Amino acid sequence: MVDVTSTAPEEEVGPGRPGRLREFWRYFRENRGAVIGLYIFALFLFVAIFAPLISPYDPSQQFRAYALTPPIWSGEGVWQFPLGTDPLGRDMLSRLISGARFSFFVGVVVVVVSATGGILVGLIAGFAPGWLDTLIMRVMDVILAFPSLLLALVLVAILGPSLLNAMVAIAVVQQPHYVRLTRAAVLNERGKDYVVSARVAGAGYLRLMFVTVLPNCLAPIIVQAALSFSSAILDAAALGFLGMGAQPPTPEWGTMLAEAREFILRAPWVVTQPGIAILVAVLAINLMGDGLRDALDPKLKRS
Amino acid sequence: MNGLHALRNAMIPVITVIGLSVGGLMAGAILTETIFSWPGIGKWMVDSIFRRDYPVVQGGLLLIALIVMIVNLTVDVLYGLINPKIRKR
Repeated sequence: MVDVTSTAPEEEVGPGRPGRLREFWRYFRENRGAVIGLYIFALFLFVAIFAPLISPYDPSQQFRAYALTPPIWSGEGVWQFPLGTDPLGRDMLSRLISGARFSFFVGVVVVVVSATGGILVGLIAGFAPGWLDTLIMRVMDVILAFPSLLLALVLVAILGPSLLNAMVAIAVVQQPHYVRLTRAAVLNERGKDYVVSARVAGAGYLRLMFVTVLPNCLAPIIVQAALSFSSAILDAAALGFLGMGAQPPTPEWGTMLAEAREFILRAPWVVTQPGIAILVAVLAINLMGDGLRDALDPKLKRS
Repeated sequence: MNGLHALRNAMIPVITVIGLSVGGLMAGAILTETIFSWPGIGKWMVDSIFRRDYPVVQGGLLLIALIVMIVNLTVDVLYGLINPKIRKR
């Protein structure tokens, strides 16, 4: 008699973590654009973390004799300033590198704040009695009715123009997306057997929320976090461009665009380089987010 | 003849996206009008924020939100017109 129980299952893992990560990477890898996005994002992260070590000069240091020197490829540039200088003589490469640090900082803070608040409120709305659920969702609908940049702009106008207020405003504007997502996922999970059995076993609401239900709702939240990272960078740059975000001389990409607007014909490199930096960063993060969505969602159906 | 019937059913995602993008277009209008100095709602909002003209800021925000909501309401009504199944509810 053959002992059928002796054949071991293929991926025998304890809590399931290493198997899931490898499986996720296998699906993520198939999407070329997403992998390229991931590498560019990793480069962006590296530049943001090591900015003071990488940048050749201090971003606020002015070289008046070299004001408005073109970049190297235009023929009249100097090797001392590979990407040229801005109207006040500050090195463009150093400013772009420091701008990466600011943008990354903005993205991380906005995503953490809005995701934390949004997940908490979404969990409460998912587990709450009917009237509280309706109240919370109506408030979120009100916030969602406004165009995001407009609402962020008005919030910054009230709070005062600074990078910190811009981050707070953008976080407030992005929070309802997380609330909606978390509430939908929680309502989906609540009817399932493992949650019902946990309640029968005597789990209190706090444990139900954070230990039982939340880890299974994380997939769409992670996708939303990746996509709203790029949206946060874009909104922060837009607010900086309008003069409502980081104030000059902070080398934030949007603020650099605003300062350089008058030079668009005379010295196009001052305007185009922050713009291209914003474009590449947001594109990379969006590609990565799309790849994440494709890799995580089918997994839910595949089981 | 067939194309006309197919177009009606295919319009539902199209008008959904139109409704959703009006919000984005308003946000973009703010930036575009500032860059090109076109006298529109966006530039009006930005200028009034610079001047700390709070009643204008409040009124402008209300107006733009009203426009977005009316467009979304029209989209919902159009759903009923295009797809008779939704009309019954």
